[in-house]
Amino acid sequence: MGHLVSASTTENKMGSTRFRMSLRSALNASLVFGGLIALVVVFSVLSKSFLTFSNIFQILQQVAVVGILSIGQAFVIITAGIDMSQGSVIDLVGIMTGLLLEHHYPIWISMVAGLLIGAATGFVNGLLITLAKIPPFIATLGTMSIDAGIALIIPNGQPVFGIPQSVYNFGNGGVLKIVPNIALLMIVLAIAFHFVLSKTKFGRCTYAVGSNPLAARLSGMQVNRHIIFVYILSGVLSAVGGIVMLAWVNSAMPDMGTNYQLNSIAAVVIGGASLFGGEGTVWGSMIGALLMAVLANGSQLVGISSYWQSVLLGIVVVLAVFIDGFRRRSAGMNA
Amino acid sequence: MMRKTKSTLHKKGCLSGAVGVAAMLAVGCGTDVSHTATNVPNVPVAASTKHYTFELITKSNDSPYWLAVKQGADDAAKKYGVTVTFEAPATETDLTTQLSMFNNAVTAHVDGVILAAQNPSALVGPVEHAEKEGIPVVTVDSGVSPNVSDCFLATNNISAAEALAEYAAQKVHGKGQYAIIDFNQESSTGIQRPEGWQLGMKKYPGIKYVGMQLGNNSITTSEAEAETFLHAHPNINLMFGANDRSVLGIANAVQAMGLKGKVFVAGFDADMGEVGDIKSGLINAAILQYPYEMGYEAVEELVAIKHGQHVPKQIDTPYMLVTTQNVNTPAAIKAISQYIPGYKG
Repeated sequence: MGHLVSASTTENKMGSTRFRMSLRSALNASLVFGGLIALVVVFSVLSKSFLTFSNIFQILQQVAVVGILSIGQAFVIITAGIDMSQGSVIDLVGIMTGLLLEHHYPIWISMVAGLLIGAATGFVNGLLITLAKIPPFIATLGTMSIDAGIALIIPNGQPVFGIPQSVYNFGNGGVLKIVPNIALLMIVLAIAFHFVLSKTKFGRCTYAVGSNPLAARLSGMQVNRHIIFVYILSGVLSAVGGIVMLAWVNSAMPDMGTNYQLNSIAAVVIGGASLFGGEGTVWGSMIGALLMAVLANGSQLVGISSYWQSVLLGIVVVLAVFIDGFRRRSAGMNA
Repeated sequence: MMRKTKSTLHKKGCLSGAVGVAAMLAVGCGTDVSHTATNVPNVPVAASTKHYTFELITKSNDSPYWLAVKQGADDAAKKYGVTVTFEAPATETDLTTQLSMFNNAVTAHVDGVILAAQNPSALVGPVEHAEKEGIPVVTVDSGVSPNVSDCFLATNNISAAEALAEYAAQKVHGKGQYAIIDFNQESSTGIQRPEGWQLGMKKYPGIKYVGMQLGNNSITTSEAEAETFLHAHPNINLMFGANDRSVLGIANAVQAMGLKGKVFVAGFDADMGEVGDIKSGLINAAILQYPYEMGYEAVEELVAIKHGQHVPKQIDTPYMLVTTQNVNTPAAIKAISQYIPGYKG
């Protein structure tokens, strides 16, 4: 869909459009950032345990998996795609890495095997989308179901235990009891991929493919190859998320990651990305993920029931996209 | 099995009748069906100097079983003048959400946590941490392993299944053959129920064991396996399904093969289909658990801990043997309504 919309724009407009879009992304991200600060203030006033070191540790631990997924999802969404298979990659990687660890394979082999599963899923997604011309939503919905099924078949539906103590320690430890290791990993990955997206040829190519694939192809970019790489990136980062979750919860259940992609999509969209492609940042996505984690944590601390938390989260997602769309329309009229 | 004798039974009028029936129905000697003991807090009702807030975290937030636990906790909270807040993930497999909820409760420094753990190993560390922070934890239905909580309240699956086996064996006059459909062999309930059943059957050497199959929590798989058993062993007159889906599969097979009344079908738990089958006699007996009791007693134990009393590490909650004969009694209806809200018989 995004391809059709953006194909009508001409190549020479691309530069200025991109400038305006990145400005808008930044503006939106700062708006969401403002919302995040407001939430933090409100929760700090309402609950005396909210702004404590131990709670900040909790929030960071809770945001890590979604944050890591959001990085990959941001790249995919910027190319006007979507990756529905992320949650199932967590399932499958959790089970496979967990089983290898349980059978005393070296930790690095177990992890590399997990990352390869993520890469393979991403590669298949990329091939289905570029060569078979299947829309991203359907293609990744297919691999989502396949991975989820294999994650149930291999352990016969049973959870996997027997994770080594060192892995558990990594998943639950932290630096100075303030920043959990897994959140530190998320921050390092976010900084690295923020750099890739904003400063490298790969990043520029990602925006170009999303905002105008035709122009990108005419200017000599390998569009299909780039799309495949982006889905592999999302698959590998999902695998990292799966390993992190495994280390955190000290076990693997065949459906422990199911539907996590919905959280990463929400984070990326709250962070100012457009599902039509060409817009979005890693930084914004991180803010989006953090906003959702703060909302869940804070509303529990102040005693909002879990039923209402879901309603609140839905309102936040819709509101963020509405504000973004409203500004987008008024910006369009001004142009 | 040793246990303390002081019972909370009389404090809970609404369920004492049902428990009495359960005790009456307990066949065989020495099996523990009767309500087990707890250290009832020796405090005047609603007279605590400090107002306590406990958090109840179940496996999911929309199953009748867990909402029954919540109802029990709410009623006890009213009686003891404490507040119980309820948190649970949307699905029983959203482990990270449950973990977060538990950690958040500890961060919020609630006065105690009641937990039904989605996974026995993942919650061990967090429960230990809570205890270190001085926050007591009572686990219900599904505990953590090793049990680092203050108290674990659950149905004794072994003795319940043993009582069910003895009842069934007497109904077939101690003669014949039996087979088991289990739902899995990994969870504690999946292991303990067939184990308890076999214990009961040992006392009836006239009934021969044919075999056990795993239905993987699927009605259709269980049904196919039951049919295979019944075809291969026409002398089977007794079948045990270790949970609601296993026993529904058996019931379907028995009905399809026209063996109703010829094969005694025994099971665990209740849903609408199972209750219908119990009424029609397709399922002859089933063990129903008392999630309401678990929630109620969990609050009592937390209050006791808060008043510095010692509580037992493990407490068996009651269960009821519901049969085609007693399914329409008020006690059975009360027990079934814990699984099916608004069930009136």
